[in-house]
Amino acid sequence: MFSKRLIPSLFLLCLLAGSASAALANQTPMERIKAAASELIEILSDPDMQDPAKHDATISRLRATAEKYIDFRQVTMLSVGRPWLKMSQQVQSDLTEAFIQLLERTYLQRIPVYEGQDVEYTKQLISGKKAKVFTVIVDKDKKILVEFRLKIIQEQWMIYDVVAEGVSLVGNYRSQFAQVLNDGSPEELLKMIRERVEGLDKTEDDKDQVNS
Amino acid sequence: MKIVEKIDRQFLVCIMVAALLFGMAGMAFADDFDQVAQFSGRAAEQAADADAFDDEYAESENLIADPLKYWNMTWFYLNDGLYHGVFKPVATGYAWLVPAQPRTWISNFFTNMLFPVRFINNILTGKFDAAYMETSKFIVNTSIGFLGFGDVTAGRARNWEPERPTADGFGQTLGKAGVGHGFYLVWPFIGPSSVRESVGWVADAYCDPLTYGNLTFIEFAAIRVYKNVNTISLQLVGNEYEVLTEGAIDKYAAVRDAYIRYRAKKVAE
Repeated sequence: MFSKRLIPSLFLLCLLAGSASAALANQTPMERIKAAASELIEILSDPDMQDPAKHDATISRLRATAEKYIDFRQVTMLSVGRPWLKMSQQVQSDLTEAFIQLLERTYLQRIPVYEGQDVEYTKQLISGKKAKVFTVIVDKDKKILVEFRLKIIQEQWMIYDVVAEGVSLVGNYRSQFAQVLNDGSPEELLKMIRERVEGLDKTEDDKDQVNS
Repeated sequence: MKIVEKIDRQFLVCIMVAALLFGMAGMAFADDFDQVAQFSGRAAEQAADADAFDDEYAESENLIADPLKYWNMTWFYLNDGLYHGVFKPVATGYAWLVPAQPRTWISNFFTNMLFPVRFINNILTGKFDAAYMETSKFIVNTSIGFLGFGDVTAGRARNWEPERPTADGFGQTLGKAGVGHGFYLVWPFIGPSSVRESVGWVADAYCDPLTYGNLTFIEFAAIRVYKNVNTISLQLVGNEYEVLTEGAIDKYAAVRDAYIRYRAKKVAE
């Protein structure tokens, strides 16, 4: 009797679990990275990209695309480390927003340097809810090994770290943030990130003035 | 018969007591459950956050010992200032003056000249295919490529890639042999290093033909500076150093972390 009831319920459970991973199975981690890359390249090869008047619009398009594939809350959280758990929701979201702006200015605004570099997808490793996708970016005679780290967040593979030539973005920021949080408060860290963003905006303006 | 009845009764009592206990426990759980439910969104989020810290990045906070931090920081900021104030402007002017092609030839020449460093360390780390490839490239580029100015082997079918990337110096070889970094060191003009990499750097200097030229220290330094300027002139836009330091809230920590991780990756390959 016991087993008669157990088997159908187990069966039901399997079915439910199966349908949950079916949603994921639509895209493997590597397919996610490929989708992200092709979407970014599409924006970058748009002639609007070269138009300085539409610069801001393009950047916000790039950011919206990046947010589809990268979980910035995770990126910030892991960069901050354990002190994150003691921060208020407000501080957490402020930090995330400031950090997005910093990354956007450091990386997104640089992508216009893109000149049709080739991306080779080497392999993917999946272990439970985490995955790594290994790629090689070929830039003229240089080869750059880039590894993407993903985890399942709300049924989707989301990027939470990028490792270029062994240097992890999250790890690199963790080493900087740890020092600040050791000596000071989360607000101080927030202030420093915002100041850096302002600093980058200022040099960007200077460059524009020189060019015009 | 009597015994069986007795056992039956005891059994019944046991079950009743158990049911009672479970019921009470259930109520107690229900109490907790209510409390959790009140702020379940936040609690669930916090639990998920805590879950994410499986210490994948725990080592980032103490990647390498840095007992000479203030000494290192002094030289780091001097080097950074020299890069932005002297080397980059000079390299920009130089790039404006000299077309990219001759600058690439010069870069090839310096690369070709360091063949002994790569060859010896390839042998020491058992990368025999890379050692073979380096030798054949050296012979062809030095002769047909006119002392290494031309990289005539680039892109040729016979220029296959070795299984593991070619060795880059004795520091890497020491790392492969299991020697640790010791601690972090920054040298004026040379940049980030460690005890191990400094030893490697000296050993590599012995394999660098330039050190066998009959040069005074000033001449030697001038050549090194020129080589550096030439290298920077070929990567003026968006080079790794600038991307890393401009996005950093603590340049010093960012470069230290990137240097140690990059070396670890080189040792692993």
